[in-house]
Amino acid sequence: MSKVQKYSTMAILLIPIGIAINYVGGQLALVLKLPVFIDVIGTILVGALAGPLFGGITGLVTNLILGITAPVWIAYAVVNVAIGIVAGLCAQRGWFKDVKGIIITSVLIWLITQLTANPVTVYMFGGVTGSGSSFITSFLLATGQSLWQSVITTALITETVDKFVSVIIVFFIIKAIPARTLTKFPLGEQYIPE
Amino acid sequence: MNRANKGLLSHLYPTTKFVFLLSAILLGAIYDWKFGYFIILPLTMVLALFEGKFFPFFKKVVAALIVFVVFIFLFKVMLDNSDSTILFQWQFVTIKTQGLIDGFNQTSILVIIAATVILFFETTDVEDFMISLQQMKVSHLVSYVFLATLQMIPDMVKRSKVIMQAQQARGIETEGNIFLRLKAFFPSLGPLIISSIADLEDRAITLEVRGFSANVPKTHLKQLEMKTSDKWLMGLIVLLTLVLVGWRIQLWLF
Repeated sequence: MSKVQKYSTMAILLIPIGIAINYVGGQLALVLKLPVFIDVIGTILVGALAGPLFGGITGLVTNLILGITAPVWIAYAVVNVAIGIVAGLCAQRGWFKDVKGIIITSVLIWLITQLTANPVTVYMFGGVTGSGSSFITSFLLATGQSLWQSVITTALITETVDKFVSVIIVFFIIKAIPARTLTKFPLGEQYIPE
Repeated sequence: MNRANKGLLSHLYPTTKFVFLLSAILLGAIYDWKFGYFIILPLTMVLALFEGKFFPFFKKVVAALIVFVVFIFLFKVMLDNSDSTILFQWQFVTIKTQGLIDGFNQTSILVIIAATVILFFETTDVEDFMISLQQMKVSHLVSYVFLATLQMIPDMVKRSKVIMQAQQARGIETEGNIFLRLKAFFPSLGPLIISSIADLEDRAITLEVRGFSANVPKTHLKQLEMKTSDKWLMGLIVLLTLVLVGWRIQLWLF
């Protein structure tokens, strides 16, 4: 089996795990009643270990599978895909290895989330996100703000912390993966401590 | 799923049902709210009834849509600055017809998507869907990713509960103020993720031994057949869709 092939197989196998992590992370946040969603850890992790393509696929399939029981999620697939791609691109530049890189990555992921999620919320769902944040949005609308302003403000409040926390969690997870497993992933070798 | 008591929709080839789904969404995008609410919604409910799955179907559709429908109508009414007829007025609350129509239009496409997707998965095993995709030359990797995920999610959820209880027994606090709860997150999720990733290599070897990445055609344990009735039905749906699209274009042009 060639090296390239072995990398691809391991990366492909990583996708279902990434998706399951997304799901469990989201569940855990609910159970612990945390004010964050943390449902993209898997996507970011796969992006960091295997690159933008696999990160993007993880994001896409997560939302498709969630969409089976809750079709809403299908529309937000583009957000998850974008996060996976950005995470992968950042990892390729070695930004998951130190504090400075983590900060840049967090900002970029937060930014791409705002850019992709808000248009979906406004155009497909008329400003409604289906979670409790819609109460915040309706409050803002009642004070006279436009739909776009209300949606963006709501997203700033609810999503920002979430994305930063998610990237930090992935950073610590990568640190905890044993070196011999890391070498099996396309982008894994850079994380092995010298 | 027990094969014996499945209704007639389950015997249709998955692609047929998928074509119906896509057509409904396409038509829903170009026609207004009456299509979604008066045609697709009743149609899917009737189909679910024939399938014997009306209550699960209805419950899932309502659960998926209720928050959205309520809030979307609320927002549309709040944002309504038109001069249309006032239907209801009380203190600062004003409901005009334009707001309601906007609400119907915005929610109609969501209703169509929710109803058709939920009906599709109520009448189709994901396994069968994957087989039909493979028969259309979609890579077996796609099937693997979907099926492996669907098997892994319940497995991981169970393991996460076990790990959480184990950590609680070691004194990790999961109730209390927010910092305590945040601190509980990592010890609960961490071991799960790391052990899953470490297992990957064994999985890779298992699959490779079964010829996973070899470039040869795969054999299937389960066969699905596209019958003549499927072909007729698909042809009918496509034809009807084309006619309706043409009708809409014609209305728009003249």
